[in-house]
Amino acid sequence: MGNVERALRIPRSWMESDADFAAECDRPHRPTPPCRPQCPNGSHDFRTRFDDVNFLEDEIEEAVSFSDGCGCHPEPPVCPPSCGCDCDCDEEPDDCGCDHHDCGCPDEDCGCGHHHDDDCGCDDNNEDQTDCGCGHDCGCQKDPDLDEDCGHQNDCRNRSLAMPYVIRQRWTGKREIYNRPRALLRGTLFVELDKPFTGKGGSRDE
Amino acid sequence: MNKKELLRELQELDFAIQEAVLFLDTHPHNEVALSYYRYVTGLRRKAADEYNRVCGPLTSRDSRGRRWDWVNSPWPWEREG
Repeated sequence: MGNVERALRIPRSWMESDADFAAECDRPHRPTPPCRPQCPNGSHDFRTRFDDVNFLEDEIEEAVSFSDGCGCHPEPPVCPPSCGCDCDCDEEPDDCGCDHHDCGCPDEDCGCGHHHDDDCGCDDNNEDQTDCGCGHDCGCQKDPDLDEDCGHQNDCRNRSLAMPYVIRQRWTGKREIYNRPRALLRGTLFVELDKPFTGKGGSRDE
Repeated sequence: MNKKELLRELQELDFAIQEAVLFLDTHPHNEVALSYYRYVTGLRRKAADEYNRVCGPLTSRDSRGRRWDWVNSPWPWEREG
């Protein structure tokens, strides 16, 4: 591509191949589903959150992730500034170069050949971990009632804003419970739920 | 064990059972929870039998024998002088 000035937006047509993307974005191309099919008109350019210098919050589009409440869906696609790919929802699937496979597309493969269960937002390497423990299928095969999840239920990285979540409690037989006398004294059988009131902490540390 | 110790053990077992029940309400297929529940309910049954044998009926429904010995004080919640 030569000596291209790094702009926040690079025309999609420049990135003709994975090699182009890799060269431009300094990392391998990762196929992803397209943007939300309901992108507002004119919403093409997603700023990145990785580049603080160019991060302009007031210009960020309303990239609301299509979470159905379970937190499985990752955050909206954001592209590195050097790519600034054109996520045009009117055209055929665009990959945005984003790290997350599910751009909130309600369709199983978003029409691009990529499936929801690539990444429920649990981890980028999600080959065996198809359920972030949220209880939602997300196209996953594992049963959260059997505590079969990717273990990322406490991972807040891919949670949507303004959505309350309840982390799924786990009991795997690995020292999660007190002995009975202590349980009665502490008011709970579960070590994780032993949260005595101290009058401080939380979001108002003084 | 004496009455006080038996009652304490029953209290601990009942609490553990209730905690397991609450967990199972939201995790009905969790095998660890299920096996723990079976375990503590078994212990609770044995502890109750022991109390009935040593101290008399734990509840009115535990009365045995020809007489209605439930009315015999002290009841489980009464403290002895």
